[in-house]
Amino acid sequence: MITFNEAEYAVGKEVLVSVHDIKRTFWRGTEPVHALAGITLNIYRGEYICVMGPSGSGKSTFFNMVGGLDTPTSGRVFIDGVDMAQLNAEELAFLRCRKIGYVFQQFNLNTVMTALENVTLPMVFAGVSSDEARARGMALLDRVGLASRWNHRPKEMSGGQMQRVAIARSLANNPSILLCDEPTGNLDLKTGKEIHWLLHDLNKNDGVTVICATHDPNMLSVSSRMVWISDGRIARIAESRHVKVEKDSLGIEEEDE
Amino acid sequence: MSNSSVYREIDVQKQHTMSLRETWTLCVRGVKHRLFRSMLTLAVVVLAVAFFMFLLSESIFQRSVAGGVMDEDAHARFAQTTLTRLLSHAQENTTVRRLADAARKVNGKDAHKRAAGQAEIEEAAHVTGLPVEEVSRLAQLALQEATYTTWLDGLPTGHRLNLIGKRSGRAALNYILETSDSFHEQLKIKIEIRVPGKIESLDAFLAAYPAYKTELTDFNRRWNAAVSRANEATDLAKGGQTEISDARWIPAAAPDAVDAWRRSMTELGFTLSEADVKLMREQLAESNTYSDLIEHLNRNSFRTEWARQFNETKRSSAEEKMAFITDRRAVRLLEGSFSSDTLQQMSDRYERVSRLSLLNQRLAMVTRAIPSFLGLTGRQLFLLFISFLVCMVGITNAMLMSITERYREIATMKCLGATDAYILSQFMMEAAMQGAAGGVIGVVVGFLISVVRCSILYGAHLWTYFPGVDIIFSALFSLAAGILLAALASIQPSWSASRMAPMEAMRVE
Repeated sequence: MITFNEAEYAVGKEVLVSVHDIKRTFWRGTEPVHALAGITLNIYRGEYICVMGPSGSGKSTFFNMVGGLDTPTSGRVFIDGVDMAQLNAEELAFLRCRKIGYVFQQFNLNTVMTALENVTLPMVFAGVSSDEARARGMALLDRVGLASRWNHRPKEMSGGQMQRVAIARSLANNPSILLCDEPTGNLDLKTGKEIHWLLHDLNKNDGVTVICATHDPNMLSVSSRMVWISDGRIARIAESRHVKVEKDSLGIEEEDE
Repeated sequence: MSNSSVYREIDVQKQHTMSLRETWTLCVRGVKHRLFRSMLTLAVVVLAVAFFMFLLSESIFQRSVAGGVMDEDAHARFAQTTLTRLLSHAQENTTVRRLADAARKVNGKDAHKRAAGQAEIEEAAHVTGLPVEEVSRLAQLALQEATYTTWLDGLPTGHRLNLIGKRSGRAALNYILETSDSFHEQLKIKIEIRVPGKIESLDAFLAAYPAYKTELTDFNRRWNAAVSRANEATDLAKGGQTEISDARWIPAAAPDAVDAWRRSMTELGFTLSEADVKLMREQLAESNTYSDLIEHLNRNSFRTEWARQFNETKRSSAEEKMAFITDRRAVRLLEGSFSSDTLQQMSDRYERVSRLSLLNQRLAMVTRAIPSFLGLTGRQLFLLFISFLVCMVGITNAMLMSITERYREIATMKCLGATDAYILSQFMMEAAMQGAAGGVIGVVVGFLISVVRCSILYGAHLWTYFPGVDIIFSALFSLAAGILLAALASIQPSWSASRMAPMEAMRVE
């Protein structure tokens, strides 16, 4: 097993998200449940990082922390140099709107809106004028290959198409980070692959930092680094190219599943 | 790119505040497609507003019809009331009623009626020789007396026995005056007894009551003196035909003799124009014929004849016969004494009078009820309050349901940068839109129900006295109530929606 050398890896990279010893404790009655028991991690700009871990491992909690959706019980989270703990509700909304794009497992598109309306919704929240929003929305739909279907509602689209619209929506305000929570969990293998390559493409060509929670072994080929979480701690960090080497040499399946 | 560990400061500002216009656009977009789901809320609003509108418009209809019917009634009995006023000695309670009527008209809103009331007061001043202001004051006191006696007589029996025993009218007022302390004590204990107007004005009236009674007696004496003189003048005008009753003489006498009588009346201070006399002559002629007809119908020989013609097993009364007076058999029976035209006229008169009296009976409850707000009685307001409360619970529940349904949508919007304030205003706005839509439907439904009901009860009178302006106002009022109701009921659900954590969007079901 090749150990991950952070110092070597970080050369020439800029820290985008920094997590310092975050803990998150939920209370089930009087009994504490440590969803996160101290995680420290740097995520660099332009990285494609996969977070893996069985359900209940604290993966989702970690995601919520990084996405500014939840605050840690202790420890600090910096996104693009901003300490999340110091932001009030409105500033958090600003951050979510412009700095972070969310892609959900269940797409979470607004079912009553068309594809274009869905994509421009975050722009409306950001106060972008409707003409500009329209133009940018169309460009984004074009980017994900759905420009011709701008006027379709989610129920008229396939799962893969919905996820593409969701990705276009997440990119609406040019975020620094794309947070994908099992983006292929509800898709079949082929469509899942398409989504992976779309994310990969966005990461490589548009320089979007992608943080992706997944069970999907296909992710290996597109990501640059992998993080395994179990019992609220980081179990292992590895560069994908090393994992690939391991996998090829040992002929094993993804050790996560 | 640098490998710097010093964190760059980026400017995190406050999130863009959505303008009302932007919120509105998004809201309309959502509601347009979600209309079916909001039907439940809509239905509840429709129910509440329809009920409100129904109560309001029915009470407006009733009052308007009641006013019209009262005017019609007064006009139909003009000759009779004028004769009584001019030529019959008045009892004190009659005087109180007349003065109170005049004062009520003067206090009213209708300019026409105010002038009429003022004219009545001026006539009374001329007849009695008292100053107009004095009579005005007396009339206002009389109105108070009438109001309080009506109120006392209309109290539920238990309360009435407690307050005034079995007394009624002036005796009751006298009793209250004697037992003032215990009366006030009772009012304090039984707070459900509502005094018309302020308790202070009742006290003021009771204080002025003894002096007022003396003044009223004086007024009545003066009036009756004038009535005596009017009777003398009438006998003079009749010129020896004193055995003929006034009601028979006026329509039958020569026009110049009647005009001379009219002038003698005006000299005594009574108001009596030529048009009045013309109307009196017409009405009296008709009513004389009518009483002749009734007398004829009541004759024994005629009743036997009628019974044979109509195969009656039980002899009918004159009233019952009036319904068949234009029947061919009746016309033939009465051929010698009354022409068929006269009979047709009498039949019309009978129908008119019975319709008026029926309406009067139907409206008696309306005219007697003491409205406390918007022309609605306390009981109606209570019903309204309860129905609004129930509707509010209903709307709140429907809104909560719609929010639970849209849990993920709300959380997602928050992930995309929606602020709490935006979510709150979106949901409030949606509720207000539902309130407005439901309100419009409710207003139409309530209006239609009350129109159907009132047109069954009052027939053509509803359209003759249709209170258009009042109905428009009450429609606007009901609409506003609907919107307000929906907005109020949605405060809590909207609030809880706005407080929802955005991480709910991540949850996998």
